[in-house]
Amino acid sequence: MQTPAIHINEVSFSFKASKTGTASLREWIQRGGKGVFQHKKVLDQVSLTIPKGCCYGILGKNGSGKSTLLRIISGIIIPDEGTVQVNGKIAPILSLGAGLEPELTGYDNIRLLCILMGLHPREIPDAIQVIIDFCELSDEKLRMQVKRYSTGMMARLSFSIAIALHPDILIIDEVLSVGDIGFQEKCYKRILQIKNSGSTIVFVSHSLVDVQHICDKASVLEKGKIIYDGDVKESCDIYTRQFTT
Amino acid sequence: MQINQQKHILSFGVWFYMVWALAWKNIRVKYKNSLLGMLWSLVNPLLFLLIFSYVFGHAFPDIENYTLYALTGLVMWSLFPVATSQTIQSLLDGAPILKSIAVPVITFPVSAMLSSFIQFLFTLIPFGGIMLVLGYHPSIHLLFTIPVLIFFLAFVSGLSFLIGALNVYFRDAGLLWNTLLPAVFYFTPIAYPVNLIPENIRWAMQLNPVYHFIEPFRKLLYFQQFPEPMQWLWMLIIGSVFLLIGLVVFNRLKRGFISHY
Repeated sequence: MQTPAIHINEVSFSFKASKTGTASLREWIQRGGKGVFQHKKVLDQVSLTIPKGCCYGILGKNGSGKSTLLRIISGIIIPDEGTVQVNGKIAPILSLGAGLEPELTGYDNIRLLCILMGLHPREIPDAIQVIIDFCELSDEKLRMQVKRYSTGMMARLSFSIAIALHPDILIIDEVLSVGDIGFQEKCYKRILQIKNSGSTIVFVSHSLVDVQHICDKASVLEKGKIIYDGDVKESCDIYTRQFTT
Repeated sequence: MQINQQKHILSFGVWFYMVWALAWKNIRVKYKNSLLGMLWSLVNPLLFLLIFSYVFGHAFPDIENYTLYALTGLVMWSLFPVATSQTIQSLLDGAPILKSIAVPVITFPVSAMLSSFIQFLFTLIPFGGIMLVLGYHPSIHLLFTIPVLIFFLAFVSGLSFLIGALNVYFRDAGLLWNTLLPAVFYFTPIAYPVNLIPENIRWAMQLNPVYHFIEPFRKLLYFQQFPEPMQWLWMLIIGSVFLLIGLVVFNRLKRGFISHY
């Protein structure tokens, strides 16, 4: 059997959120200095196997733990329990313009993020060129500080940085809805191209049309648990039913 | 628990390139919209130097060339507040990137240390000029300020990693630190000589780690003497102990950072 691209076994994670303010300090002292942090379980015994070359959709309401799951796959969050195995190079998670430094120009941001993605200094000049070509932002715009960009332009830039470099595993966190129709179309094409080249894609979206269009398999996440794993059509139905009942 | 991922195998060279790129970014962003740019890091110590030489110059008539005396302390000190506060802040500012790319967390405080040290090195050029004007003669002692600075950097790094990590959990840590800084400044013999402190409470001065770096630095530059072996030993101990504690605490706490971003 081929080794899967991503194998997650019984992963749990809870946020240790602290309440702030003087009220919480008073409470903390009353409790004798214990339990400053409230544990909020975000993922509960999640197991997931994504084969190589699969385009895998993850559906779920807001706050069901999708983003946390993606971060665990990317190695950004280390889970409290369970094991994570990822085979291949992962692109950064896309969320709208996150990670872009507003004070720097488009060019500088591309360069910085390439370095932070761990590219070898030798690979960087080529990578930068690929990104510049893909994002289709003019030289004038790329010389501008990112803080002057529109939301669509920012999304274009961050999406290009993540997608252009041909990762083994691409993680997409509901970003396709921004950008104009032309760029959306281009992104779809690029995603299909990446898929056809044998890379693995993890796709989170609220657009059922997109999910059905792109994904081979899907699962539904509810309150940190996977309630269904398998067929795309069935996942979409379960997800839709969550809102009707 | 095991994480099997290629991303985690990062060569030191590539990692240092990240540190360098982030440090360069810090400097660019900090002075992006200012006209004087890096010159601003001179203003604060210079202002203090003016105040000190005007106000305290008369108070310590027995110190020969008081302005040079104050300057040798102020130069060394000027690294301290900048490096600590920028390093503490770097862990908060790094949140958006740390949430989207699997970068080693330590990259952020290390690059903040590096960028504040680079700024410090730049200020040494005009400060060196001022020292020459004030009658300083360069000698072999100057070379020995390099190990003093290295030990000092180890101490400042350790301290900043410690406070920085705690600050992610409780912002009080950073606020407390900003409150304490001026107290530490006046508690360190920068503008005044140590023998001003009464003999019976001078042990308290020894508890201030910054003191153990300022004194040898000034000894080399102002008195043109070599620090005693005991002073080197103190710097070595304080530097390595702080760095070790800082790194250990940082590594223990970094897993929870994401919950607080």
